[in-house]
Amino acid sequence: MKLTRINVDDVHTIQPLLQFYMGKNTPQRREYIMGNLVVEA
Amino acid sequence: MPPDTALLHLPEDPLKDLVNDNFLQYASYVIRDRAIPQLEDGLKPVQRRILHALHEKDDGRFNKVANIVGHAMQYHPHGDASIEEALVNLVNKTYLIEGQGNFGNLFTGDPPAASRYVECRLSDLARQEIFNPKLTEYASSYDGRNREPVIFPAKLPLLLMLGSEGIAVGLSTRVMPHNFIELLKAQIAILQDKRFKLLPDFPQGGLMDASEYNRGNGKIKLRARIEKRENSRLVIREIPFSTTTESVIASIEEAARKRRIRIRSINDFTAAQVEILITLSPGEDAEKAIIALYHFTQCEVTLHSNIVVIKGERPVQMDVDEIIRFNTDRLISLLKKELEIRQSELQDELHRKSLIQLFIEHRIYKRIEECETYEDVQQAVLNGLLPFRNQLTRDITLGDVEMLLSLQIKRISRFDLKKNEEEKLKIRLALKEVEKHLTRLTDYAIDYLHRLIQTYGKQFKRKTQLTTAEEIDVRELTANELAIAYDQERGFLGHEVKADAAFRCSPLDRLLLVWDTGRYQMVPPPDKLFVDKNLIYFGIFDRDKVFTLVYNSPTTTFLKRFAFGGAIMNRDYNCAQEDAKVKYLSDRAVSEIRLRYRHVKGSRIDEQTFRVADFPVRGPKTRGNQITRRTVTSVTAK
Repeated sequence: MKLTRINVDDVHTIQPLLQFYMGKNTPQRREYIMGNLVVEA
Repeated sequence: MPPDTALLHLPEDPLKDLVNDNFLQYASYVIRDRAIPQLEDGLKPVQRRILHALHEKDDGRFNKVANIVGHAMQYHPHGDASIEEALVNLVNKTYLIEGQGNFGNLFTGDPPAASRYVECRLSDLARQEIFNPKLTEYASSYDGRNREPVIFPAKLPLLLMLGSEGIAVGLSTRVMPHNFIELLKAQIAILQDKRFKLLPDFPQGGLMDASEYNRGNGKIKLRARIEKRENSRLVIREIPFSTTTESVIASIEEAARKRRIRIRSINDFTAAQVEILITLSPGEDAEKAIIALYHFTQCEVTLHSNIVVIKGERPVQMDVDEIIRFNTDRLISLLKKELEIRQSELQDELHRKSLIQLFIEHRIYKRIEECETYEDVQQAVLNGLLPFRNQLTRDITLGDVEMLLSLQIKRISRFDLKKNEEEKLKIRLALKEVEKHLTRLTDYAIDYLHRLIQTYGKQFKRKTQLTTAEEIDVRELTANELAIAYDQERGFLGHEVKADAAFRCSPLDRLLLVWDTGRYQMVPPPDKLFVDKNLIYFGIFDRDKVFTLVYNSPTTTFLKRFAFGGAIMNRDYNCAQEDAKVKYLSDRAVSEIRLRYRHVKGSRIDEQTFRVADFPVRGPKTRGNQITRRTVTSVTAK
């Protein structure tokens, strides 16, 4: 069996990332959406 | 768009980029194209598309809802159920879409019939004030097959009229519905630089405390209208917005289970009107029960209002005043554009009529007989018309020449100069009118708003009653508590008198009693008061109500109109002269009083009519106007 080394250093960021995008509606998130709204040209 | 790392405190990585992009795309889409209404026309895309579909299908007759839903789906590629729900919602708001069939019951929360069984069409209001293809910007529909409006040129303050509710990603909106007529009046106030105040109004009615409304970004407290009945029974006659009779009853049952309120039974008789009958347990105090109902059940709800709308391309938080001001500015600009369009149409028509007249009058058509090529023909016409340039409002174009060349010969041979001149005059007059309006746009807009109020004022009255003070609340609650009856045979009046009740009133009301001599008193509602048999009027005392009175003194008959004004309780007053005999007294708005006189030998007139409006409204002590010295046998009013 050939094993490939996988780097999982970044995994610890997934939790806060999902917390922000998929979690509760927070005022920060609201601000973030308002500030970064995608508006088609 | 680069993610805002300062906010997130997260290092860049591919997963984050992916999630971020998708998240923002989705959030933006939901905010802009689904859940949040547009400031200008107050509509969410689904509502706009439904109205557009209805407008396209509109021939004045009813269309099946299922058909409209299908048509709207050409523009709104989503579930038919959600489109149908939005349509039913608009129908129940009654302003824009008229429904036929079972659209559910706002009070009970009963669902509407299936869309194949019910029909709808645009209301006159929508037809006239929302659409104008000449002022509408269109965009391609989602599949590029059709064109749909971006924003309607709506002249009505639709957002505040209809209210709106939507949950997007990260933000939500809740706009309360307001009274249409009050909105129009506020717009007039804005145009006249006056102050105004707008508060919500709901189709369910109810009582409202809006002291914390904060122009749409605060909260309001809504209460059911509860009336007391005899035998410790309560009746709920109006429920708060956002509840249904079913949910109210469930909440009362829940409160009863928790022993917050002791009831024996609840019956729901709601159909066209709300009527929930609550029978209290024996010994339960009705007054306390009402307080408990407000405290522990859905008979009182607090609603938060938070107005977020799409302005331009972005969501913004606004308040009611800002929105109605925006609507008013927009109304002015739309009216201006409409007038300008009308102006240019009239000018074109005038130009056309003048050209035709010149073309025929001066026989310019004869010049084309010799021409060989079509270019020559055009040139000949153009040359023929050129000398008359000063009679025209603008230059002659090739299009004008084309128009003249396509005239039918029979029109030329039968041309009626006089008629054409008359038509031109009419157009000139219309043009002048339009120009006048354009120079006085504000007045024109105010007239427009007044016209709307006149047309729809009666149809859209305020339903929710404002109650800022608790005291007023109590009066409202008890408004029907006492049934006042008058037993003329025995001469007793009061709520314990055994006779047919004349009206209901609150213990806080005051009654006005008037006897046939003109004597009157203001009294608290009695339980049983001896008033004798010659009482001619009794009703709830209203100091400003205008009465019409005809009475005889021994020699003369008088007519007067007056309001009773202030009075001290239980004290004797007189609204006629001494030894008078009241012939007629009414608080109704009458226009004419007709007197019949006893016939005397030789008299030609035995009947006379007086216009009530000719008599000014005065106080109760005035004598009134002497109208005749003859003996009056009867008085009738119209």
